[in-house]
Amino acid sequence: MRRHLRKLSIYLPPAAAAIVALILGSAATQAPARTPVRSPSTAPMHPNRSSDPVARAAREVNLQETGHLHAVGEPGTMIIERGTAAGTYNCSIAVHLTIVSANKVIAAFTVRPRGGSVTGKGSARFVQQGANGYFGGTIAITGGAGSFAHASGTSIGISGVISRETFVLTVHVHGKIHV
Amino acid sequence: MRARVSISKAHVALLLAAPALCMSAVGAQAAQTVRLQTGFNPNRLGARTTIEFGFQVYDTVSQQAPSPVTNVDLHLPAGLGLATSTLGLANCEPLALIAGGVSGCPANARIGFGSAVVAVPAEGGSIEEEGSLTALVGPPNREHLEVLFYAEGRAPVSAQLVFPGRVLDDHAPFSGRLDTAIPLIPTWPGGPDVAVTRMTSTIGPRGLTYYRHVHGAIVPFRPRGIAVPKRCPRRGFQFRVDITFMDGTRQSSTSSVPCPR
Repeated sequence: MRRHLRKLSIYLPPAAAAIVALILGSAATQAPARTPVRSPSTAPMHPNRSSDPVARAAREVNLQETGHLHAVGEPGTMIIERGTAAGTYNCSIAVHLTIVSANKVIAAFTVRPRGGSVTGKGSARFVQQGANGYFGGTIAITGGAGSFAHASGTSIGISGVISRETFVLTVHVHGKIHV
Repeated sequence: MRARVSISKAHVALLLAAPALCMSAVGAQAAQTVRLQTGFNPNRLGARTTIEFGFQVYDTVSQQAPSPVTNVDLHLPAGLGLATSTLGLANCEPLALIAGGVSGCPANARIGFGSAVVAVPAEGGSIEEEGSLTALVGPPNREHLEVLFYAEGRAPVSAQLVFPGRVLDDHAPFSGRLDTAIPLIPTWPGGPDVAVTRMTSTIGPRGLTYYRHVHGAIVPFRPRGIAVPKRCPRRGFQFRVDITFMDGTRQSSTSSVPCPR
């Protein structure tokens, strides 16, 4: 699994960083935040430029999400699920579950909160018990767009249950991310 | 996990004199070979199917029963959608299976059936006995899927046996393996053990009927089978069986389900 950490090198006074985070929030899509802001010691000095990138403080978010999804298409070795998630962000969610072995699944997901999207991937143990299948593991953020272009996070917990008859899926995601 | 030998209603019917039987079985160190056969029913890419598998043990010493099988490890091809089937919607407890046979467990716990042939040592050779085999999903386990095999034989050795299998992870090119410990089956107290010479079983919906409650009524239905991948590997869907014998030897055999035309 490719670990893709995106770090923002922001060197702002703490008070300024907090104010920036409060002002920008999800409206950070208004600013071209894709260009990372380098530290004062390494950034070129352009005091007269009017198009300097907007400084944006990385914000740690304690992510707690619960998603309710249903299968799309005919499930085989891959199950495509779509639905909605609620919690830290209320948004749509899509999950691709690939059964790679008897007891292991690979989960790739995309969530679309307001202002952008986040994608990630991870693996989980899978065990069937009666009419349900239970899974648990970790995922990592692999990319983002819009307000979440610099989203990052690893070792995010994922767990859930899927009905083996209807493929209705309930998933819980929890962990710290940076947006 | 080792097998639990459960001969709850063991009733050994001897057809031949015990001393003669003992003498013919003492000191046997037979060598064995194994042949595996597998199939999908139906064999169609992207379809839901029933896996059919069977192995036969051939003894290299004629007129002598092979060494008893103590473990069967069946490796399953990559890509089979076992988890997306609806096989085993209920669980079966070993004690209920021992006490009541197959009918002691929910019908929705059954995942396959077949037969087993054992060689019973006899004067001048061995006698073959065929018994029925039923595969059921065992008790819930947080680590892996448990499969219980219930074997029932009538004559000359009457016995009902429950032996557990586990669906475990495996290495490529296999997606998982069904690891089953086979108990030793004594013919009579102090006597030789019978040897499994042939075993066939299915894992899938063919021949199975499940039941569900719909608006107060019990409705029968066929469970959803195992998903066959939409793409077939160049050499077909490869299975392998590793069999361990009581004499300490181990034999393997591979079999491929050919790509459908």
